[in-house]
Amino acid sequence: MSEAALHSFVTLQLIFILAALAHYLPLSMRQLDVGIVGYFAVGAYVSAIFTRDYEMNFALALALGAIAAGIAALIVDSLATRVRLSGFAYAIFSLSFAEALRIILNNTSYVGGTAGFAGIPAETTLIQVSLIFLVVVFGFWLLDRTRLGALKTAIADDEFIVPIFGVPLVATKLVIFVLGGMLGGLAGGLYAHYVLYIRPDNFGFSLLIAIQLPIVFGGLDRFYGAIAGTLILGIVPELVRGLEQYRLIFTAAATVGVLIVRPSGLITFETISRARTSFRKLARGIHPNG
Amino acid sequence: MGTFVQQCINGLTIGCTYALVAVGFTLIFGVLRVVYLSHGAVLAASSYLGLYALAYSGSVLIAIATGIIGGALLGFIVEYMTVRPFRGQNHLIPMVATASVATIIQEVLRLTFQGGQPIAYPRAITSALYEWKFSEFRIYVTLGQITIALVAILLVVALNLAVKRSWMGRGIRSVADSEWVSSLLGVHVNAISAQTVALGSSLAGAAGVLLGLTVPAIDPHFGETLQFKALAITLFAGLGSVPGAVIGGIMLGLVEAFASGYLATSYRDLFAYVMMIVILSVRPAGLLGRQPAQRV
Repeated sequence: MSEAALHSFVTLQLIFILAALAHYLPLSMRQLDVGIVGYFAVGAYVSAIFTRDYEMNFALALALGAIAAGIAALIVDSLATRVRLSGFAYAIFSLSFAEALRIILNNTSYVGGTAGFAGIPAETTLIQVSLIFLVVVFGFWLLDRTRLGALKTAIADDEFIVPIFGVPLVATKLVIFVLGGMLGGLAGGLYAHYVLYIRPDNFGFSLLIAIQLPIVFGGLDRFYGAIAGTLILGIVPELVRGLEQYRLIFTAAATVGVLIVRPSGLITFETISRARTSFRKLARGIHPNG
Repeated sequence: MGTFVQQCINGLTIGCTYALVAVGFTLIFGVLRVVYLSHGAVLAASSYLGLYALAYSGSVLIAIATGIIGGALLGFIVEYMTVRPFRGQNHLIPMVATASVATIIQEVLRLTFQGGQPIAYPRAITSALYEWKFSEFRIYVTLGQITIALVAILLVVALNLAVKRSWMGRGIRSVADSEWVSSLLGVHVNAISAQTVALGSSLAGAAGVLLGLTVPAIDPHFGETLQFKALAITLFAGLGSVPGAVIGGIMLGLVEAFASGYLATSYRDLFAYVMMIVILSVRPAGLLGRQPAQRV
């Protein structure tokens, strides 16, 4: 791989990890928020409109894109939580939002319709994406150590028992959903200013598959499962010669395989605690299996 | 008046295919409680099989039979890979697994058949036009439309008989009521699960061939939209209700036909999604369905 190709591969991979983390946030509550492709699209289009048509500062446009996506998430999810949608009904609900948005974008001539939105200024650089990535990872690390993070896990375990302990279930869920939506919008904005040409059909079901399957592959217990999954399924097809064409098949087959063997994904709570114990033993100079 | 009747006929035929897809979908959901997202991919694959059967034999009936058999076989395989291993687990897992297998099927189709370029069915066979003249307007019906309506009605009736009047149907209904009790009573739940998915997929296979006869061209992804429309219909009718799926399918077909006849064609696909959003945010268990206790 040439240096330029490697450069763009790493940038796009980091953007996809950001999107995967955005999708992981609701998934860590076991809510399949399929709207992620919609939030990604909202972030991409809104920030691109601001930088192209209003010549706005890139950082500000990114923030506005993220906020717009957060608002979209707030609207969709407050409708959903109002009637306590959960499980597959919620997945279908958010999917309809994403698909409806795609059809509306396809019919909006201001953003180019099916022909796509071109002429986006090139703003995203690898350094920016890496910095944002580090900040986001640190944010996730912090989130796992806050009350909100603990509530997230509690909701994942049993969302009907949580309100009994006086926790505002709907508000907690909404906060997580909106955070996920904003992160998705941010990733979308970065994506739009890197590929410079977007069209509504980029943000369809196949993008969802590309974002979601690696997370399930990596495991839902910890956020680094999502990162590891996206990295493994992103890098392996690049390394193995002749696999690029079968990339999606490889991703899907690997996911089904992992689901059959390890239903909770590659990295689980158990893996982490086991790794931690053996690491401690190693640090103390004891053989891991001794 | 002429446009109105013409749109009614177009809507009814497209609605019949929607009903076929939705009936299969709702059967699988009602019995196995799985949101079966491979349905669209199985439909597309059967459509390709039907195209080749039609090209070799020249007979529409053989093509439809190939679609049905191919759909059923694919259903067996998909069930073995995605439904069986995950029975009794969080229902998001089979949903993700079926979506993955759908991706595999679509990619195989894309790599096998002309790089995923849309392919058209031979037109000559089904485009024979029948014309009825009334005092002031004319109505056109193609042979393809008549075939679709007849085959769809026949298949839905056959499915209904199979579920209501056969030994296999008895097993299917018992598993739908309670998987656990039926396994205690000696019903082979694994076999019933495979049969249910195969039955539902055979309807999708038939729908794939029938749609291939009417739509301008087929491509590996053309089942996706249909699958989500089937989902919308299923939600509209209540999950697991076969008569509801038939009515819902025909209604969606009519609504779309009128929308593309009188409004803009490009917004046609929006209705199913808007319908899903409205229904789910008002009555989460479907419009005509009972509101059941959700399994967590």
